[in-house]
Amino acid sequence: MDPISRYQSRKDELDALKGELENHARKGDPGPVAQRVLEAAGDLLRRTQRVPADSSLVDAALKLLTADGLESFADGLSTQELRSRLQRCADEAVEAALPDSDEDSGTWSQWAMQGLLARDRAESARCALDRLIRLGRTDATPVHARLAAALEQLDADTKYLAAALTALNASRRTERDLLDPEVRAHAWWFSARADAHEDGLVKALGSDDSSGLSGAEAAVSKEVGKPRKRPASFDELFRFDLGLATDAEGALIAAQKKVSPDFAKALAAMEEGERAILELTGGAPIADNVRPLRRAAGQGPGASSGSGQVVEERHEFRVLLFRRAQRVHLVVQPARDGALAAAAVFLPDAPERGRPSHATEAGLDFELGPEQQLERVTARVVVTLKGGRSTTLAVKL
Amino acid sequence: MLTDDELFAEISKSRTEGRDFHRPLGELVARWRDHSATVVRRVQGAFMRGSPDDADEIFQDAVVKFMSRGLEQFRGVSEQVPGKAASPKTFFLRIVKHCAIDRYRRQREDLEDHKGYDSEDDVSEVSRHEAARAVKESQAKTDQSEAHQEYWAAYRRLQREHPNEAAAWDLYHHQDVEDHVECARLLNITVANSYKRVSRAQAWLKLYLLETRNKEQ
Repeated sequence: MDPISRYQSRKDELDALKGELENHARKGDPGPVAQRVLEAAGDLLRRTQRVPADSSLVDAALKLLTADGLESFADGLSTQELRSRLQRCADEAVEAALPDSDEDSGTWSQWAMQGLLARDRAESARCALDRLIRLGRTDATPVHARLAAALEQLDADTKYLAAALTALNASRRTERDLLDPEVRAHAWWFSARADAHEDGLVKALGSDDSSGLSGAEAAVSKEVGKPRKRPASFDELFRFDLGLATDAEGALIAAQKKVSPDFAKALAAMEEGERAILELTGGAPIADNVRPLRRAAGQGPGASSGSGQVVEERHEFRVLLFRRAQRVHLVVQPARDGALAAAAVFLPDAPERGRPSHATEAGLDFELGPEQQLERVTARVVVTLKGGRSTTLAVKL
Repeated sequence: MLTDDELFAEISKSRTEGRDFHRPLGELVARWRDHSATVVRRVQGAFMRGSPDDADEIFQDAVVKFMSRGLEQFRGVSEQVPGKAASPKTFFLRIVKHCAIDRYRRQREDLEDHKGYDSEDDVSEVSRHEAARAVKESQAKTDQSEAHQEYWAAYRRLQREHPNEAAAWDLYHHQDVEDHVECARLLNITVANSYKRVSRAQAWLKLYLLETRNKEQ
């Protein structure tokens, strides 16, 4: 649905909600209905020029909201969730500007815009509460004050994301121009750095060539471009030795071995130390299980299986990410019968303790916890194949 | 006398039940001290670095690592890669081995880090003008160091939030693999993918630095 039709349809939605409230048709918690009324009313109140609506309809619907409904709406509101959503939206905007394949760009943009629309709906609710106070409803005052303070803090903390959001400028400009002129500047999620000359900013930041940048962007580009070395850490080398290194860690070690005679000597010392340990403990040599398996397919928003997203696909197995009932699951699925011996998933808060799992028809299902707590977390997935070979993957949740 | 495995099982049990386990742990690692010295000697021989006096310090480092993370890690490795952890003793000796390697790698890197700096003995008596210049240069070095730390903080964040992009950037930029064909081969991805990951990594690193500087202001 195009943006203007979406806002036009708010009138019908508000009319229907008004009818429900008049007839007391909806039982149970009045908070969700109050939220829908406030958001729909606010959307129309902030777009009076491009989406004219009968103000008596808006006022009548707002007046029907009960004090309980407003309280319940305020209790259920989580600006923390909005904050995470906006941060994810900035990540998605960067993916939209620099996608793995051109066809992914549109999908990333759509997802990112959903985050901005969520922030905008919260603003509409605040605006509708303001209107309700003007209509004489003093019980809306504390709810409005709480929401306004929370949103002010949220904006102060997230406004810097505008640089990343420039990747969505075409859609942001469309949304900005639907707003009444006096509320545009405040809606930074649509209006900050939204002019056409900013459109290429993320692409320019993603380039080695910083000649098109100026000011703060040029300064950080210079900093990032400075030559730097990073030696493999104790933990990376230890994980490599134990056969738990990810593909990336294995690649880092291979690259350093190639260019640094000193590092090659460290690896030789590691092997010599291992020989000493085997002699001292009488252990049998252990099969080399640190060699990474070849990757069959990459990540991408387009790849999916059922309602899950394929986050890793190998010859022997694939890993799917599911979000069910606001909980995150990873499913390790064998690609052919008998290829998989075991799998374990670890989260950073308990890096050595495997998450609980159970076998399902789809594969081995790991329930990782509430979606909200796992925003931007990276899980470590260790898959052991028949024959003892194992591989470790980093999966961003 | 309890065997190593029995003593280790008792330590694990005490730990799970929240009881003090330091004394039995001390007893257990003391049994492995001699073997630990042998491993250190073999690493020193292969590395062509170190002295016999290092063995004690390396052993202490290894005990600290084993206590702080190793006990949990041992359980994790036993579950993930059956056979690789083998026994608590084997696992401990591997920690010893890595502590020794880390020590000698660090010594080498510390020397290299200081290559670019002048020794204090080289500085002759300076004029007021030269002193002012020295203060300015010192400030520039401090700023440079802060920017350096700011960059690595941003990189660590990239590793947490976008591990695939961080891995590609690490190879491309920190490991001098400035060739996307080679990056792609090492990471088992396509060349186009390597280009994209490096681009996104750069964009995110710069956005993180902008965010940090914006918050500081």
